[in-house]
Amino acid sequence: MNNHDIQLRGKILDQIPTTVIAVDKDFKIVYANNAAVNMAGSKLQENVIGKYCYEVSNNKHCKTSECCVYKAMKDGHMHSARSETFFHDGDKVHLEQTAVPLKDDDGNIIGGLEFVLDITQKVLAEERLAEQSYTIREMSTPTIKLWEGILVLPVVGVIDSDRAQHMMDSMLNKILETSSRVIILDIHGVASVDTAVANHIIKITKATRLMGCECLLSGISPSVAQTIVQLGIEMGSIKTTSTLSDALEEALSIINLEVIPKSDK
Amino acid sequence: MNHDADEQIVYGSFIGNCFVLNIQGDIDGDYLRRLYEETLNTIAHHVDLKGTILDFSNISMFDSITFESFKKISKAIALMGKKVVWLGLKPGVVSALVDLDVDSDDIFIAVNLEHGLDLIHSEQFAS
Repeated sequence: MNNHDIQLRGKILDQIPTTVIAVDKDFKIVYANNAAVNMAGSKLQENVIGKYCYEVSNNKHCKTSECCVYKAMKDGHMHSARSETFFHDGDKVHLEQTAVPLKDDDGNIIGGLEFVLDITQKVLAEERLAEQSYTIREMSTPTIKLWEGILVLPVVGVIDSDRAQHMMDSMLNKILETSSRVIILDIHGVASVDTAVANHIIKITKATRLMGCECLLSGISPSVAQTIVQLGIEMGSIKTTSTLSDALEEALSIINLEVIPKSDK
Repeated sequence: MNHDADEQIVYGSFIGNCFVLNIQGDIDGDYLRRLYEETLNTIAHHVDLKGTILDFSNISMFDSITFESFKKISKAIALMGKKVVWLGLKPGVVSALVDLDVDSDDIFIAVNLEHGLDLIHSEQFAS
């Protein structure tokens, strides 16, 4: 390899905007590119080379067995870790460090190579997404008290296992709060019911029953009825109706109430 | 049967014709055995009892073995001709039991004490 090539490689590494450092087996820095030097708050390579890597960057993994350079040098595999740090101007930054073992020409591990990515934007986007998911979930499953002793939970959209768990928690807590004897689960707004969804629903009815509250399933459309029969799902003793008003009638009868028209005087 | 004795661990009270048993504390094999005996003896002693209510409101943990033990106790009470109603299972406990896929089809469960008493007295007329 001629001089020109070596210089070009050096230039490339120095122009990569991510921190790249190499350490020997004692964690002394043997190479640091420009980005690494800047990250360390220095202008000169001499200030960084020869120092211990944990002196230059201090994140929570330093000097512990969680350090990915330590892990990479130990087992010869790539390891990544996330951490947070503060830039020398005070801003909080989220980082992802990845380390691989540094090998000589014979394949022996002589140190570690680490590069660090700034993932602050990615982490912020993840946090926003989690917040939005939470908001959507909170918006979509309110259990409503329809009458003294009767609750109703209308469900719209898709029921996955996360949502089913959340629905069950919300229902059980409301039952405890109101001491209701009947809860109507209306799935009119659920487009498709497969075996997984049906099992979630059956589990929910078992749970409400264990609290002393009977769960009625309403909003069974013709297509959902056909699907359930086709898939051979056993609904067992769960009472099901096609409309919410039919379920309400059943609920009223369970709590011994009757609706009578006012007589004309 | 003296309910004030120190070694008494069966906490129960009588409401009308119903024996309300308050389950609490550490549920180990010993406790269950003593509960079993003392409950059945109480029922034998009070001949005009219509039913028993097992109140689990003070229990925060329930495994499937404990569940089966209480089912056995309930079966025994039923064999003595008394109605049995469970109540007070908390949401967290219920979640765990459902995950363990316990069979609760043969048990009568009420949502609160009022409901429980209703169930016991209404079933009395059903038979």
